[in-house]
Amino acid sequence: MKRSAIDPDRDSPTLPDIRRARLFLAALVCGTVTSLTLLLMFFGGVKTNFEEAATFGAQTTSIFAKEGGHPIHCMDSRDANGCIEGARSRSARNSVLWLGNSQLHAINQMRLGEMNAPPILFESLYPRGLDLLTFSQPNANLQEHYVLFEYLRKQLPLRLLILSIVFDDLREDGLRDEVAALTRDEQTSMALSATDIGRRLLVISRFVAKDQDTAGIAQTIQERAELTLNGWLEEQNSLWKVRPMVRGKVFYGLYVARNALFGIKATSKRKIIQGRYNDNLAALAAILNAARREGIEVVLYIAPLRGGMEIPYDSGEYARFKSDIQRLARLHNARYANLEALVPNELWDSGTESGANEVPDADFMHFQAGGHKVLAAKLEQLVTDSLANLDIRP
Amino acid sequence: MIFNSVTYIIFLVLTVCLFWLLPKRPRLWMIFLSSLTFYGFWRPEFLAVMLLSAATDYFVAMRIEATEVLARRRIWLVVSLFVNLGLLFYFKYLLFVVDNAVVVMRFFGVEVQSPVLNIVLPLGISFYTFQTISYTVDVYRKFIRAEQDFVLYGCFVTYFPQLVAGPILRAGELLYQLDAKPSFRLDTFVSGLRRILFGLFLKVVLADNISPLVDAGFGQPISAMSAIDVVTLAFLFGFQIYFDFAGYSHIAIGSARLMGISFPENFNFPYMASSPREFWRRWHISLSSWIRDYLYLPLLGVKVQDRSVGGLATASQEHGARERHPTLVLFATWGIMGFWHGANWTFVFWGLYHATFIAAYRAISLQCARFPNFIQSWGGWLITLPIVMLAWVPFRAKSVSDALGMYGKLFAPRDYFWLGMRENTYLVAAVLLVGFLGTYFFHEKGARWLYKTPALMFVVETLLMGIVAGLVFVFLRPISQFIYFQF
Repeated sequence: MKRSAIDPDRDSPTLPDIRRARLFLAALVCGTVTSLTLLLMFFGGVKTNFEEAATFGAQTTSIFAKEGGHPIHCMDSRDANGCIEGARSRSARNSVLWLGNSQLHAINQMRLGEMNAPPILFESLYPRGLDLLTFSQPNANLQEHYVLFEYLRKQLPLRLLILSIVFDDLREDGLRDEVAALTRDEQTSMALSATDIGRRLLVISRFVAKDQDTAGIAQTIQERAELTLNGWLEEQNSLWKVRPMVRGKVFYGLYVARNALFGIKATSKRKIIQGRYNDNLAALAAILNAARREGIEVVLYIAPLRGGMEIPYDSGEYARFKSDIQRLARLHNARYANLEALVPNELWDSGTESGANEVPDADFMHFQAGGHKVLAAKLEQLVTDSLANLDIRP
Repeated sequence: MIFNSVTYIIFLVLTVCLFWLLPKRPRLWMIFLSSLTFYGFWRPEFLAVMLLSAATDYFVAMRIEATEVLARRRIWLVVSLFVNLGLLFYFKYLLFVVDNAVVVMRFFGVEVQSPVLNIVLPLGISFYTFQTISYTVDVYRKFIRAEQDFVLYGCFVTYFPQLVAGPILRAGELLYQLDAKPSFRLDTFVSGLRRILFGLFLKVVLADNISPLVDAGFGQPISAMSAIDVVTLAFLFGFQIYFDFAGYSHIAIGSARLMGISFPENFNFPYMASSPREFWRRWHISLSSWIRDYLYLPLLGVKVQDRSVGGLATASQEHGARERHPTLVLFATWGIMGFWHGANWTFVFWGLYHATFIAAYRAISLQCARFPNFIQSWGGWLITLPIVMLAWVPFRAKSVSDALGMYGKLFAPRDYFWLGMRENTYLVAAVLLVGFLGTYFFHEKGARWLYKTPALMFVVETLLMGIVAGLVFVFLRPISQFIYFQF
């Protein structure tokens, strides 16, 4: 019988079949045992957040603040209920929602006791009757913000939305599982179905908002069997349990290899991806439209960007981006602020710690605690200006 | 049950152990019952549909064999075709026909509401109906005797490694193997293990990780795609479906080998074909061989074969002089071939696309033969690869208009000067192409040289198996079905 072309077990002209089979079997056993032993040695019990590892520099720390035992800064569906319950326990009547990316939760070169902007702004707004909740995810795109906004505005007495707009995030697309899961909420789903981009997101969410690992056998007898077996294997075998983490490590390794191979650094130019850019602008327009309809004030700001060096974007495209955001803000009566130069250069990182001979790989996104103070102060001012006309009492 | 799961691995270990431990009769019962269990793990209620198809052909084949009167034999054959194609029509094509009828009626001004039909496509129905039809036709053609033992016959129809997505086997290839006393051979067993591991690697490491890029690419509006994007997506989906389906076939072949049973190959480096015709001798060989023997050659009026090897194009070269309406038959066959894949005009489009290029190749093949072999093979490959990859556009697109929109991009010069997807997407497509070529050359040249020395062979194999086994261990999960399950 003719063998498959991608069949690795070729005929060997020099070895009899049985000897070749023994060699193959020995190689199979040795290779498998060695491979599993190495996996066990390297990954036994180590936990890493690869999403952050791929996003942050080596000196950046994530902080998600709490107030009175409840979180006031969350990520997505995994912790949203905690934030909502907190607002309810504080009897919040005037909620402010701040949506953004990792810039909100990451502090560069953090020292003990330092805080990021969300709790600082919370502290300044709360005595004035405003209850701030912040949601941020690494590389969050505006389509994800749209889903979060539609979900949260049904749960909170929302008076004001603060939206951080980052050029990089407009290169992202679609929904991560933890945000897509929010579309299972009926009211959110109905609200999204009112716009073209929302309907597209609902279609996408059908594919991602489910238990990914058994998505191929959903609602079958095998799904139950598979979940039971997996649960048992996770109890019995520590290596089986860390498989998702190892998968993350494999992808992170590929990411590092790609960057090394092509010389990609934080300073490498990132271009607009037109389709994604358009979808994100459509999502932003949908947010602004819904907010205006519901009487929710909006503050849109261009996020602070590291100065003192060439930006990692095409200058023409970056100018066009700012102009597009400003145009949309004007169209929907939202307050627009360009805060790209807000955080002084000395409040960004001071390069890598890896050695004097290496070229520092600057972090354009995450600043030090001092930068968070500056940002919180500026936003407090913008919020105050925005709410001047509203009757809000402590 | 799907192969890329812990459930299947445990099921396979138990089945293989029982296979080698049990004597003949209990072994056949065990294969039959375990195959039904395998199928029932998806939706047990659809076992009845499969058994109806199988039972019909069991009885029809015996009726055909019992008479020498041609008219009666034909009547029984029609009964078999009616039942099998009727089931296929109901489950697979009824919704499509109704939807299209509604569109046509509305076109002529007749306002009708689309009826609400909730029909679930039974897993693997396109495969097992073709298999049972081939059995009855082979008995009708007197290629084989009708099987009297229902359990043995049931094992042939339901044998779990090939039940859901092939390879589509002929009774003459499988029945005798199931009936014979199995003799354990270490080389067959080890090669089975390796095939399973390699198949899982193609599916869970490659296909499942290419899938999100393909989904995101095809999910974006056509206006947001550049010409480069269309080509990249065609290549990416081409690799995804190849790794997915070849992975399935490897696991099927490997699982059968663990029980000492040989299946014919289903793939042979299809993207190294140097002509559109050759592609179909390398891609889904068991289906194209089936189409050749039960549709294409009978329509041409030439002699058929009884083996699921060789692919669609082989016979026509030998019988060209006696063929009836070869071009018409070619297009009809390919239209049906496309329609077999799914009840959507996109699949018919895909089939006719292939027919067009095969017909074009036929027209110029004599002129091509004048070129030196090197130019024929490598020049042909350079032209064939983009042709077969771009054929995947209608196969994956949501509608014919989307497919045409994507093809339209290829003819717009301005759409070659910008990119609409993340840079990684192009990078992955390029790496896959280079990796595929590297694997081909290693397979064709490197492995033969390396494996001359046992020590070197052991080192290379250990390294290869270690990487493959480690990655399969990490990525094994039933995150998605095999693409061909939907057909």
